[in-house]
Amino acid sequence: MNTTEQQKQDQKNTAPQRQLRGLYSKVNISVKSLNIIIVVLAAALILCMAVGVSNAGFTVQFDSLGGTTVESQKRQYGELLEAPSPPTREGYSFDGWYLDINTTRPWNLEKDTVTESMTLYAGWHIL
Amino acid sequence: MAEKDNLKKIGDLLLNNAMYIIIALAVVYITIMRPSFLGIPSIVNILSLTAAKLPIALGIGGCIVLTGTDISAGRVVGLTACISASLLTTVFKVFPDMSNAAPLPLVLLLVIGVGALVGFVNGFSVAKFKLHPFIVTLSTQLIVYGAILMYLMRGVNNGQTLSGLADNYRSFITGTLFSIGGVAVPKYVLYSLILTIIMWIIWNKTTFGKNMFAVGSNEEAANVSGVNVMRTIIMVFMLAGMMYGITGFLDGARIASANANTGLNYECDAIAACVIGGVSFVGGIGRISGIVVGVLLLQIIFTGLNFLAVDANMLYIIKGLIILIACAIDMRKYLVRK
Repeated sequence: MNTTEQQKQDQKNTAPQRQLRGLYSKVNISVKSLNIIIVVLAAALILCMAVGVSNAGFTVQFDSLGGTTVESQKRQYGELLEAPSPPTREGYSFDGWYLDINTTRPWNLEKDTVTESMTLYAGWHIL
Repeated sequence: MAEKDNLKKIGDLLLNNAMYIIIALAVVYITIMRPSFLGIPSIVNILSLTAAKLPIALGIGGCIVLTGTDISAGRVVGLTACISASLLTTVFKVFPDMSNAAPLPLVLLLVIGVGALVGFVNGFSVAKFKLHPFIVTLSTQLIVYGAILMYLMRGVNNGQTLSGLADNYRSFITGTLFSIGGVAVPKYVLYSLILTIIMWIIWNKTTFGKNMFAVGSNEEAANVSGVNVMRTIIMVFMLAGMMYGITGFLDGARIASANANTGLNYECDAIAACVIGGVSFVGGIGRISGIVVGVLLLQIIFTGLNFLAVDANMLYIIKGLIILIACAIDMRKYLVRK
């Protein structure tokens, strides 16, 4: 190793770390700590995904809007709902489940598949 | 010595690409568990959702290049979606006096103008008073939210969700562009593509784009070398606002309704996508292609987790962790670069 190379090597070892700027301008962190942080966070991310996958299933709740209670169901992606026994309410007749509380978008129990957690609302007709 | 160097190189490679590796592993796992994830309907779905979220990310990307950010984005999308849905409808609840839907181009110009106006307020406050974009855009976020709520109370609407959109509006945006294997690709994918090309030209081929990067990497230096810093900052924020306006216009028809929650948290996804795609909070660093990749990757991972029926609550935690990791990688890349 000649002198200039030696100097270069020394410079590399003693040169202060680059200063972060922009939104990170106040951050003072070494590459080593960042490495640890990245590994730990990546492990946490994978763990969260694993927990999420092991508890997989969308919860579909039924809001009978004043009628008798209907139990919620847990379904995987793309599955059909099991037809719940229709709720009853005094003075009204039940006319199906809807995606919105204003009962404008009906849910077809034989065709529509579950793609997210949601609440279905009962539609009522005054008798 | 050589072996140690090699090990270090491999370590660098693994750490700098940790996010991509995790996403790739997740995609492999999801495909094994649910092979339909790689089916045509699912791929078209991922591409369309990517296209829908791209314009807002392209807008926010510019603010991040300026070492800023814009957290008013989601609410501006909400406001412009509500404006579009109230004017291009068949049931005029917000404007009971109207009987015909307004012309499409007029409404598009109007929402772009509204977005640009909010962007101007953001940009002017940041550039003139040197306020941090977080503070400025936080306040405009709240102001815009208030405006949405008041707008929805107008006429006989009483704060309800706007729906019953005009057919020409819906077909202009969600109409079929072309079909692959019987699955329709909506028209807004094309619009998104056009916007991406326009933004690429603005970022790479115009003086304004070059000024933006100069201001982002060193404001004083840019000022000394004759860049009009104030005008550049204002224009970046206005351009971003216009993108949010277009996103709102597309979103109203895409979701087929608009309410006070439309656009909620969109900015989080867009910022995360930008950081994953290499638009650095360090400032002055970023590419349009990176933003496209970032939005796509984020969409792939979340569509995949949805396929596995992972609960939406957990998705928020995952999203938060992804942002943290992306920032850590962002800092690391900057520090190790020579």
